[in-house]
Amino acid sequence: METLVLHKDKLKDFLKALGDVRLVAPVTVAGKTQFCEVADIDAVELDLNNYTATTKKVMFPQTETMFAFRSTPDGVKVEEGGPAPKTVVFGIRPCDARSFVTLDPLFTKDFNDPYYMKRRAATVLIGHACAEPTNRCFCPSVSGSPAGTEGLDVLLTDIDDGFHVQVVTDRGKEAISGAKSLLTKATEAHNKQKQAADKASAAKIKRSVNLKKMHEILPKAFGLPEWKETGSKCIGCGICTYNCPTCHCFDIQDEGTPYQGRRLRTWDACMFSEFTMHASGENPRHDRSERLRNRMLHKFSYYPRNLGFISCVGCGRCIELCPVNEDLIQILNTVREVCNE
Amino acid sequence: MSNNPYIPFEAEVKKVHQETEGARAIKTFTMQFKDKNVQKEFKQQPGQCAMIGIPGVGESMISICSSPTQKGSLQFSIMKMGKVTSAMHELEEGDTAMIRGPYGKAFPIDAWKGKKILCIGGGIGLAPLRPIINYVRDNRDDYAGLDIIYGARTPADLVFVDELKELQKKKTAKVHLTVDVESEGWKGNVGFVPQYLLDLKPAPKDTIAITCGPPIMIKFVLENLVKLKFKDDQIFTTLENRMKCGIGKCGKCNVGEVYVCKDGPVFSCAQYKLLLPDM
Repeated sequence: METLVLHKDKLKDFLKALGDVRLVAPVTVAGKTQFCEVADIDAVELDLNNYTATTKKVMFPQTETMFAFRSTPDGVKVEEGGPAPKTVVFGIRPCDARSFVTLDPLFTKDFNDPYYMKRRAATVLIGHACAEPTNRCFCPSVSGSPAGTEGLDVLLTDIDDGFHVQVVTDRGKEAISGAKSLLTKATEAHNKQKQAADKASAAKIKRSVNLKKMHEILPKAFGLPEWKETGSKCIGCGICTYNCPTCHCFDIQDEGTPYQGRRLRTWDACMFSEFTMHASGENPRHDRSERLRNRMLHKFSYYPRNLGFISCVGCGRCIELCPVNEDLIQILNTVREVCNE
Repeated sequence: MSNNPYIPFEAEVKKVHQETEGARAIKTFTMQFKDKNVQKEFKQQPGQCAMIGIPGVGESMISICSSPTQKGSLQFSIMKMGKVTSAMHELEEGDTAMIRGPYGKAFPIDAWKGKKILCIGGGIGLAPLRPIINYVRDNRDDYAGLDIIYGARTPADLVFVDELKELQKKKTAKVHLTVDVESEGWKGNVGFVPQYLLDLKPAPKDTIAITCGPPIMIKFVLENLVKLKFKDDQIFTTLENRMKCGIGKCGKCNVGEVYVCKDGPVFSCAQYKLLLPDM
């Protein structure tokens, strides 16, 4: 696909040229970057600032109405929502874009999840390569990269005069077709700058974890006493799951009365005891250490075995945000060590 | 019909049968979809489950306790336990609930043709075995025998009692009942199901054993079947876990890498032994 260049003065025109779409882009809210629907293009700030929220909610909102119901003389009427609005997510990081690639098989295998899929189909992802990976990042360990294009339709990379624009998919090409006059063909010199930028950002990643055969090692480590030790400091707050771009567990709840109301889907977290508790009070994962173990095994063993992807994109948010310093990398390293693998 | 797997369909309560009394009462509901096409297309196999719900309250995964040989309706035996099951217990004939499904893997009942079928149940755990019992009853010539070992805490906690008596009377099945504690007026066996199984010593030859009940009962029944020289491929069980979606997405019902809602609820003993001890 083609490689183009966008001059930095032309960024706002470029955003305007995306046309009549719902634009989701990074803005600063209370000192932190959030990806929000933006009406005012001037508010878009491509440089991320204390960025810990994810873009997962674009496809999989924290709470969504599955359908409304109401009782009528002819019986219960169930009303589904309309189609998803055409959306462009601008400035999404390669790790976050890649999280959708890992989520796709879950939401399509055996049964299509119509809520996720309709948004996925209506959304174009225009990424922004990471020039400054944080000290929590480890995306290369899970086959990602600060300039990775997996899941993206277009990737922008900072170069001297503006942005190197890599068109990744036909969808991406179409999405930026209105901005043609703003883009010039990338020259050899531009491509070299892009390569240098990729190399420089990759070199800034300090953390890594060896995941070789981890999907086989973890089930063998199921009975280790170390889980108890690791899990004992976990306070079960669930922040690791709520800020994880690949966590997908959800709850379904009804709101209203039997006569009128709606069925909702909300994010849920495997770190809560109620997540698995039976109505009888029986709980297969009664202890926090059992729940932490399940989260690790789910991400690095069950998910890859069932769906072909490690359920982690190496963003390190769970490490940065954990109030008691649980560190996924340390946990996996311990497992490997104790299992002598 | 909608291609949205989360959309339920309205079904009318045709009959409510009170199986047991008390705080944890059990009722069997006979349900029929209001839309005849939905009823026709709902093709469940013994062992499968359905999400049964009441708008405004929620949904619960319940095993379908009627056999597919019973056409035109579905049955669910429901213990009053949580929010949804308590609301279900308020329903009367003519009321409606919402149903979606069927979900999960079924018992390979057609592969068992020519075999003796041994159902071992405890408490409400007889409900998932009832479609097998009734399927074999309705295709009795295809199966070499039908034995039922069933127990509950007291005689008042036994479910489907009239049906079991009928099967015994018509010599369709040999029914062996037991209760955990001595009870007034009870002349049958007293003792736990796993021990009663050992006492009865069913022969493993050409027999398929299927068990469901409280987890601890399942555990000991499986051990005792092995003592009786049953092989792993002759033993089946069915499990349950908290579920929300029913289609392998919400992440709640996994036992290791296996999702009870879609990879189960039916497991052969060989599959069961491979599960991580995540229960």
